[in-house]
Amino acid sequence: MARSPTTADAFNAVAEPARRRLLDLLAAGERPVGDLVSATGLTQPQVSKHLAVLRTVGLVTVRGDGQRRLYALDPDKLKPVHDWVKGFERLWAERLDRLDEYLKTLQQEGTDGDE
Amino acid sequence: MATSDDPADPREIVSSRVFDAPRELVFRALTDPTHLARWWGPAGFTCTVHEHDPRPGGVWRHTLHGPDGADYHNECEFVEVAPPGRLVFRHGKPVHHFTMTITLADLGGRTEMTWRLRFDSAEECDRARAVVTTGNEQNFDRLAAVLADDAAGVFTVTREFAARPALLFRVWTEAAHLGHWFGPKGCTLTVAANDPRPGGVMHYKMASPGGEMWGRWAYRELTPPDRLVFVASFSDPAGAVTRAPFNPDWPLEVLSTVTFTARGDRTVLRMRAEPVNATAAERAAFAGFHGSMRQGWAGTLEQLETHLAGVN
Repeated sequence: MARSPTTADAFNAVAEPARRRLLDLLAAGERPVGDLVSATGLTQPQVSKHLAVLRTVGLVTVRGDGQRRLYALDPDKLKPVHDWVKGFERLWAERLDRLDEYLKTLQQEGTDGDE
Repeated sequence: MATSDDPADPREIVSSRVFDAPRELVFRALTDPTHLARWWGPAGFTCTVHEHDPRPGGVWRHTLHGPDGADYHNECEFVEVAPPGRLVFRHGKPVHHFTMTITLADLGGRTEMTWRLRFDSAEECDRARAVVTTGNEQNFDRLAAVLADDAAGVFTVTREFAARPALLFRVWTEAAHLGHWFGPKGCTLTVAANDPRPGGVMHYKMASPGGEMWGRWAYRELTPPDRLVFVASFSDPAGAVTRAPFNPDWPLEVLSTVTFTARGDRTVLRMRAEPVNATAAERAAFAGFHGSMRQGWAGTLEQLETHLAGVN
């Protein structure tokens, strides 16, 4: 899976637990900064810093001005992360499925030769 | 132990624990069947969820697989499902009849979870008290471990196979076997070298129509048939450790611990993977990339799936 070698992408943005928490809160709908501050227990500067990262990679958009800036999730930008997250878990799920089938084949052939 | 002066209800067993996670995460751990299966049950048990409908009147059927090989089929019915703080269900089978009330108290980002099991009679409660109290504490231990793994970004998977541990161990450590299951569909796995001893290396190539990728396992511990520990890395044809081709921040070394535990004539395989000798960036990259991250924000992914289904 080829991607540009930059740290400013969605994968690195979601690697941070506080940012995942913000995305989770925004998944339910757009929220003003104040809501996000009280819901996460982080300070306003911390929340603003994390939102800036999320905006840079396009995961979050903002509208409005002053106190009424509303942040929203852009789910399309999460798709590559979503695909990869499912992919890694699925990689092992499929491996273990193949292991299961292979073990059955061995036992049917009578070649399991347990010690 | 209830005495005549004890105000505690003689039909009730109460257990509680403080967990280092917010209520929303603990509630999800209780009500997402995939997550539930990772920790529900006493020590040494695994769980298969057959049916799970977390609504009043909804059914929850699951089997607890005991370490001695016995299976316990459980049937419950939900009474109340009120996120993020309250879950009530009625346990009908096996053996015991009780109503379980689970409450989650917010302790500023941590959660106090209380289980109240109310039996139909004080006698039934007394008979169950010792085993249930022990089982509850073990179950809390398991939840705490899963929450800690998720917070730390550790990847874990548990699966049962219809084969004995000795065969599982061989199939993981012998080149002739690995090629049959380790590579993904559509890929050919070739083991270039394998020295299954502490300090030895298994070096392999994965070839697909899109190209080839090399990897290696540096063995740390081999204790047949119980336990296998190795450090997984991406590699090149010469066998050196290299960066992942898809992400410069992917950890160079992922410590992988695999255990094979007999359960009757079957094996419960548990695998645990976490970065080792890693930078903070590598640990963050690993934690962000695997399925257990979903436990931290399953809601986001569900919304995303709904959204993507709508635009396609």
